[in-house]
Amino acid sequence: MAASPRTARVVSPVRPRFDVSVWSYMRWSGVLLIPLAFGHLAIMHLINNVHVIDACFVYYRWAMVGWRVYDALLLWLAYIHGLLGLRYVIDDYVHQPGLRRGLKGLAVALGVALLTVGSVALVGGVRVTELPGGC
Amino acid sequence: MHGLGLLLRQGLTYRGGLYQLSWVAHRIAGLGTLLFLTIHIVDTSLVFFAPELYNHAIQLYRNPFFGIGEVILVGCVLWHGLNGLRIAVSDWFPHLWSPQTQRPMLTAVVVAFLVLYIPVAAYMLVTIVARGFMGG
Repeated sequence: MAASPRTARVVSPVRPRFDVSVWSYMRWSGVLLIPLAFGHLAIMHLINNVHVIDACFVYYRWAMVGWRVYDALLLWLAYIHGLLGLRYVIDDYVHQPGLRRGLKGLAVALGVALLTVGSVALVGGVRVTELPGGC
Repeated sequence: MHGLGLLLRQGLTYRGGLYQLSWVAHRIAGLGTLLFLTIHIVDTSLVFFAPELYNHAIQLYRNPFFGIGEVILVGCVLWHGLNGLRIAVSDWFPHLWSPQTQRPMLTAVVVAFLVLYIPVAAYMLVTIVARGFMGG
């Protein structure tokens, strides 16, 4: 009896177009994040730091719309970049299809929740009226 | 999570040298930054949802324990950014993916990282010590 021909078995559905988009996004967002994230670290973690920053500091900072746009760009570019990076890690180390789907679902939920919360805060701004001493 | 343990063991035993280590460091730095970012988005959002609680959160970050974490975070972002730039540029111009080009590129990344990180980390550590262990 002749041996049956070896055929490649598709283990998981392949989404080449989506993967190419992710590949491209990781590079473009990464390069944009270099000035954005390095600048953010320099301004908020070196020149200013946690000993200087408080709610009023953020209030005066966000009085300039430019900083809100800067922070919004950072929020969206960085967090999506991070979660897509997590997707690579999940694909590399989690081989059970159910667990893999579950973890990716969790990552999407986390992304939706945190980008929503972060954007609401950026638009809403610092609620100075809630601070006993004001600013 | 046997995966991460395997990653660390491979990073130390696989004979990929500095290239392999740069990849392991890139991955760990990325995951570390993602973890920080998740916490950081929540705490910053408190300025809208509960401004008094935001001030309390910042007060916690003034603790030297978090200060050390911040020094590590800056290292993670710096390495991930510089090494990531090498990957992106090499992918856009694939002829750069030759051992003759990658060696000086990786050396440049390591040198740039050390030149930027050593003074920055030193400055941050001095601030931590100057503020004292009660967090100023």
